[in-house]
Amino acid sequence: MSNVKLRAKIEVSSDDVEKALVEHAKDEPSVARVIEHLRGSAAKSAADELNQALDLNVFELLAQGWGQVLAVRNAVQLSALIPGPPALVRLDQHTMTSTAYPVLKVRVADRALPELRLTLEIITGAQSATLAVRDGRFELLALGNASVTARLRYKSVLLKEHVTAVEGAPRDPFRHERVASDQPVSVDIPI
Amino acid sequence: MLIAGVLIGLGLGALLTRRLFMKRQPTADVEPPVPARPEPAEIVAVPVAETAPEIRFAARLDVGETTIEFAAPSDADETTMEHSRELHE
Repeated sequence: MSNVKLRAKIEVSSDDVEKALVEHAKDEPSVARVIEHLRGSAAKSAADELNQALDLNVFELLAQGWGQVLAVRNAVQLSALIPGPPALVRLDQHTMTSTAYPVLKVRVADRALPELRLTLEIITGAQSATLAVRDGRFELLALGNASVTARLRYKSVLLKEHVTAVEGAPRDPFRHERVASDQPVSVDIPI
Repeated sequence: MLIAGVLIGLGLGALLTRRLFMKRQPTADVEPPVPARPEPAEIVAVPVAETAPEIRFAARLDVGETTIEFAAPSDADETTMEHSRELHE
């Protein structure tokens, strides 16, 4: 399933980047020497680069966590050995914490500076998730209400906190009552 | 007597004329000013137009760890599994 995405993308501003670079300069003299050149339009360019890296594939993050669940692993292994119809695995309410590291490489006059390594913590809370497992792989069949909180830091300095929801995911088919916000979703699962 | 008065008048006139001339050209008898010796040029730091160095950025995302935690206690059945065929029966 490829249409799972954040309702609002995680984005940094040039101010966020400047804040991080100023902190970085405290530890790195080579950055401190050129810090004035890294402000303003340069920080804007850096933010643009970081925002491209922050364009997350939410499903990949979620899949990493679901792949750790014993029932999912067993179902995936079994489906790889025994061909058959998809097995459905329903995961009840859970929280997933993913850590990623946005890294900014900076070159000033063809001289590489120490990389700026940020920490992105993504906490996803999902009411439920239903996975379809077949041929040694799984895909997301349905996702209950899910929210995402993302925190971007440089060391202990919080640069950005972002709260959003996940959209594009079908609703839980096991839920009996339907609500007006439910949208029909086409999921291609051979049965 | 008349001649003496004329001479005195001429003398006074010449004196006044000289004074007037002196007032109009006060520096006429003063030595011409010596051109001031040029001061040594003051050294001023003139900011050279700094050319901004070329700055290039590139970003990547390194993936770290992911952990999952269920709301229900660990001994509870947080997952259910069934085959899709059973759903259609």
